[in-house]
Amino acid sequence: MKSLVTLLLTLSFAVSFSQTKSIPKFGVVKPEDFSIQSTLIDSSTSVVVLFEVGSSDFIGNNDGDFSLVFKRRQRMLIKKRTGFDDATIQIALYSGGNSSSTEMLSDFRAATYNLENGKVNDVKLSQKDLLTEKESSSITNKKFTFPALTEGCIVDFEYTIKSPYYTRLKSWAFQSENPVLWSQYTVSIPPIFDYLTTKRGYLPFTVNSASTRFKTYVIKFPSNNPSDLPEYINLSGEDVVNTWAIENVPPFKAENYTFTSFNHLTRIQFHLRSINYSETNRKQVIKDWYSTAYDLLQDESFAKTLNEPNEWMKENLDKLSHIDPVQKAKNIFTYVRDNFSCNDYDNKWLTQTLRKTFQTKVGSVGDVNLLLCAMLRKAGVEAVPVILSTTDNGKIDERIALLTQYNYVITRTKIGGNIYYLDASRPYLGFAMLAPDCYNGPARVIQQSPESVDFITDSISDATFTSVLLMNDSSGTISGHYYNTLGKFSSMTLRNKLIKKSDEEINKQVTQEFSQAFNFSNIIIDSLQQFDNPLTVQYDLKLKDEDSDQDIIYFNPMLAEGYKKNPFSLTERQHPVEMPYRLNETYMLTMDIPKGYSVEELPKNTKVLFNGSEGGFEYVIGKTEGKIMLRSKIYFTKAIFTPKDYDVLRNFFGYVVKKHSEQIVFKKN
Amino acid sequence: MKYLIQFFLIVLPFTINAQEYSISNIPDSLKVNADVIKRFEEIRVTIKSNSKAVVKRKYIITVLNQNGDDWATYYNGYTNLISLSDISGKLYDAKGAIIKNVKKKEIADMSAGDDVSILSDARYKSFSFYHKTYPYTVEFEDEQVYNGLFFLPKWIPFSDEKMAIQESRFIVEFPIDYQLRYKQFNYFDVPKISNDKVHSYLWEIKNQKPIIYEVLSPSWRNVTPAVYIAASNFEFGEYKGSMSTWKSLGLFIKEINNGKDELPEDVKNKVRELTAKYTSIKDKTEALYSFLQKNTRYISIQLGIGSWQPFDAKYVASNKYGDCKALSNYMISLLKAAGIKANYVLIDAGENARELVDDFPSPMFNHAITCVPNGKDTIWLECTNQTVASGYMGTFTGNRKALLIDDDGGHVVQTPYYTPYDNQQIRKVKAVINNEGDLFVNVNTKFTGEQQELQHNLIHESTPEERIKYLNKVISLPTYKVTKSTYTEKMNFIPEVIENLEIEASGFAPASGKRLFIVPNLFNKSSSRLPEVSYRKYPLVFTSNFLDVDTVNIAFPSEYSIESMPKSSSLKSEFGEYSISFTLIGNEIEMVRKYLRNKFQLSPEKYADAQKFLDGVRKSDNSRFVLIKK
Repeated sequence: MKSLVTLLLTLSFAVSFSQTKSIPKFGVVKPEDFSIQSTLIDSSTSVVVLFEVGSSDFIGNNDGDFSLVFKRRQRMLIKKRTGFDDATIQIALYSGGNSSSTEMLSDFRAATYNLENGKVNDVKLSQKDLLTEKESSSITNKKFTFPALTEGCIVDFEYTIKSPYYTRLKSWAFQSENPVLWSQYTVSIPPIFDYLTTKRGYLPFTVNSASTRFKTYVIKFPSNNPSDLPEYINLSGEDVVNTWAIENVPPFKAENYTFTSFNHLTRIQFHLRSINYSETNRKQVIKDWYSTAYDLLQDESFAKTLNEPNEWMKENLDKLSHIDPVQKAKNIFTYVRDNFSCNDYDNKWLTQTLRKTFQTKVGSVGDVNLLLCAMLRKAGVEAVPVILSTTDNGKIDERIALLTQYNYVITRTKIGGNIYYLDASRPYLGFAMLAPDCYNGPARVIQQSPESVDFITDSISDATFTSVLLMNDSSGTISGHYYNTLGKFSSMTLRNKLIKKSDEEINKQVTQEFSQAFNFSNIIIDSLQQFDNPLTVQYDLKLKDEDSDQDIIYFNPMLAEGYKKNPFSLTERQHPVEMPYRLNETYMLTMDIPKGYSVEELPKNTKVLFNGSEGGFEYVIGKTEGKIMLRSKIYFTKAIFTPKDYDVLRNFFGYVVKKHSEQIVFKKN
Repeated sequence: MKYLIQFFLIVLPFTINAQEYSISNIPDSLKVNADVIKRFEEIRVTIKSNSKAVVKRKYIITVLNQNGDDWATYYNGYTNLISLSDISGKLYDAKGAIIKNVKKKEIADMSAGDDVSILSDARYKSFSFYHKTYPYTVEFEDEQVYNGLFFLPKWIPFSDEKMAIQESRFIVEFPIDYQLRYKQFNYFDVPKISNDKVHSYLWEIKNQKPIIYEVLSPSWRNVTPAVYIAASNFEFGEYKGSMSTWKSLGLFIKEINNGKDELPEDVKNKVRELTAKYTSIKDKTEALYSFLQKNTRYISIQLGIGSWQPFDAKYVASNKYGDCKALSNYMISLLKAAGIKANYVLIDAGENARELVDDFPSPMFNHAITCVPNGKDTIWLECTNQTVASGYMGTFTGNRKALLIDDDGGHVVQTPYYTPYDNQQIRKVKAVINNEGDLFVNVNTKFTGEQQELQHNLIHESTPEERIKYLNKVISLPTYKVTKSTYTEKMNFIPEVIENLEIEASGFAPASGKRLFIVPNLFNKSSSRLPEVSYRKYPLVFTSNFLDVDTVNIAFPSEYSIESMPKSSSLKSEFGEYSISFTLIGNEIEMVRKYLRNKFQLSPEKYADAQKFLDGVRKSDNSRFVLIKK
């Protein structure tokens, strides 16, 4: 009973908020529209979107199916010159090759309005102002730019796209870089289609209404014989009409340490869940994970070939064979990684047959890692594909088996009870390693029983360790040794940076920070080419003997290793801070007190915690028998921080920067 | 002898047999410092007539390691006026055995539209073998047909550093009655010439080691061999012209711009209205320039000859947009309507523009501007920028030669040159450190000329976020707050921006220890340094003129006294002068820093001197005071 009341309340609530704004007709612009007031507008606003209204409807087409009709209308007030760039509009249209598989643009209208002496003057665009650029064989861009722009003008445009691709019902972003006073999207869906609607971002809807509308669709089936008459089918039913709108949408601001703005931008998107031809004939498009995995295993664009004989790869596999199955897996992994290139890291699907990939040596991440999977299987090693969404592709909701959420595939292999996740698509990644952008939450193993596995950002840590030893050498100057082991993930980053450089450039880069004060010798970079191991950098250093024999020496014991700048320089933050992994940085210094000097002042020891137990900074310095020892450590137990944590985080690093700048004072005896 | 050259030209390139692709044929000396070896290259330009040239290109590249992979990717462009066809490619292994042929459908065909243009007919085709077993060799051939000789290909055999060349040749064939012009750079031989049924010129280089690029090197063109060719008589679209002299090239530009300066009546009236109250050319020009800036914007559309011919003035008047050509043409039309003569000027814009080659007339330009001749008060106008001061060219188009189009043709002219005294940054910093170690700073800076461009853009183009980013770069304090920032601007020929910042940095000087460390040069520390080298081949090129003067006063709490004070110093070199002085007045630190730099080309043997100078500047810039609690 209680639930019923809630439901009723919710319904009435929805109705009372279903009032949408009346949108002026195209061509109707009043003088007062130029002086619109809003709290969202400040002195820095260059463009105000007065309204943006869109709709998606279905129609019956002439090819025996439905098409989508997407309409978009937008009116902007351009307040400043810096907003003129927003008056060039580009619309991408997809083409599948023939007219029935091509998206068509129509009903294009656009005009610029200027208020001159209290009168609204317009300059209209026509069809010929719509420029066409063929970007590639499948994408054509339509472009136009508004004429006669002045600061304070209004531009208004609308267009319609007819598309046969109803699986790609257009999503709608309510938020943009400009403030939007009214953003509204209406979608009418015939009963035959069932879409899953998902919302992202944090802004609540002003309007969120649903109603029904009786509609009849006429679908024409072309005849196979020119002499036959085409067939028509009439489909009638109650369309579900949904309208979502948000009033006064603040501008979206991109921030550093954000995986992707898609995680935070307020928008709504649609996924075709099922097509219900009749009560008994229903085509499930989004299924449960079991059926979805089953389909993927049969899918020619995914796992089907994994189970085929694939005799063509046998010859190469024989060369990679090894008695130890782990070594065999490593051989195959290394072979795929070192011989194939990935040209699309945002595509889990096969773009061609595995054999074709084998020949052309290039493919999507799907092509490369599924080839790896197939080769492992052919060699008798248990291997299954695992799909995931990389951090730049955004967060996923893994409760629904919605494949479009996933953009990436890796291979999992199980040998002797041990599990290894393999990614052969990145040229410098070691065996059983994943790059940090693969750690973005749940992933799904595609096998008969599709289990979920977690790759959580907060779970991965990158431990770097630096140790510097400085001694008074026999010649009276200071010399020593630098040793640095990088964490798993920072090794990847530095390796990517160094691997294509000459020895000379590498030496320069790894010693750069120290080069002001020291000369170097015996530079050793370990494991630059051994991708399975962390990188280590070590060298001998000798202090450049300038200004020796001073009465007082001020010496920063962090040398060049400390934080010199706060990584969080902005004072405010709207969205979470997303770091790629948990930081864990240790620096140690052991040094002789310079000959003939004694310690006048040492920095103070300190230990601060970040948000209780979520991290900390330790700076411990001590003096014993002619030596100074320092240990500085920064660590976190998580990698993602809420905007609420931001001030604490900024102050934390601000403190580290200050502490790292402190000096030891040596005084001549 | 003539016969021999003919034979040599025609037969050799097509008789390389398979084993010659083997890497064993590469002399070891060429492999040093090389990622790739250009085994063979031939660019054969055949000028058929004033309206047509055929360019056949063939090259073979051996990639020694993964750093050279980019050079194994085939890439060539085409437009409505330059076609591209007959692409073929082969991949060979280290022994020279063929592994793969390119299939036509594997070649990608993409739009090459630059980011600026809303529409461009530039496209490109590309292909890669994605081979990863090193070394390997690729061979590509293609053919381009140039409709009209306005543009012709260049020969620059060294595409980049880390590339050695076994053989590269450039062959240009043209009719006996045609006059071809060429210009050699760092090529110290004469071309081999044969004059039989056609003229044929051959330039070639063999067995050359890679060029090693050094910091502050001269431009690539000044260190690498190259040959440019240019037409005499040519056709371009439906137009005919000659570029034998700058004059004739100018006449051609004049012709394609001809009749495009007609303005609609309402704009003419507007011109009258705007200029009526002024008498001087300068005032009238400024009024019209301001009208142009307020009423147009930059939109680029580049199609066919349209990449050289402006849209007419009427088009700009009604759309209120255009590209550099259309907007310059429109500006000239406005000035003409006011009875002021102005000239269209072609120029190579950008900070790293190619230098105009005085004795080699050719269309090496990428931009158009306007010049209003007015004796020593000649006014230069950048018509694609809506905010820049009238007369200011800056780093984009200043300090260089350009081609001015007049009634009698083209003239090479010099745009305004900016001395260090034009490009100043005069900064006064007043700071106080309180007892808690917090720092309060007022920063007042006057930027002029090239040094005000960034701040000018901050005022006019940037979002608040970009401004904050800029401040973060300028203010390198661990934590700080900008409590006030204001900008004012003077739009002179040498424009001026005054920036006023108020900054608070809490905990600037930690109060924990006995000592305070203060680097008084808070905001203008130089970080330039020259790497240690054992040998320097090329001269060092210092590319900017500027003068910085920083005066910093920092008051510190009276409970501290000075323990150590940095030394004042001054340095002098051919490319700059630097001085910094530190004084103590009561409990106030004063630092005065002057840094003047000249555009200068320093001979290679002075590398160490330059290094010493820059090290000295950096060191002095980081000098610090140490204060100790009394």
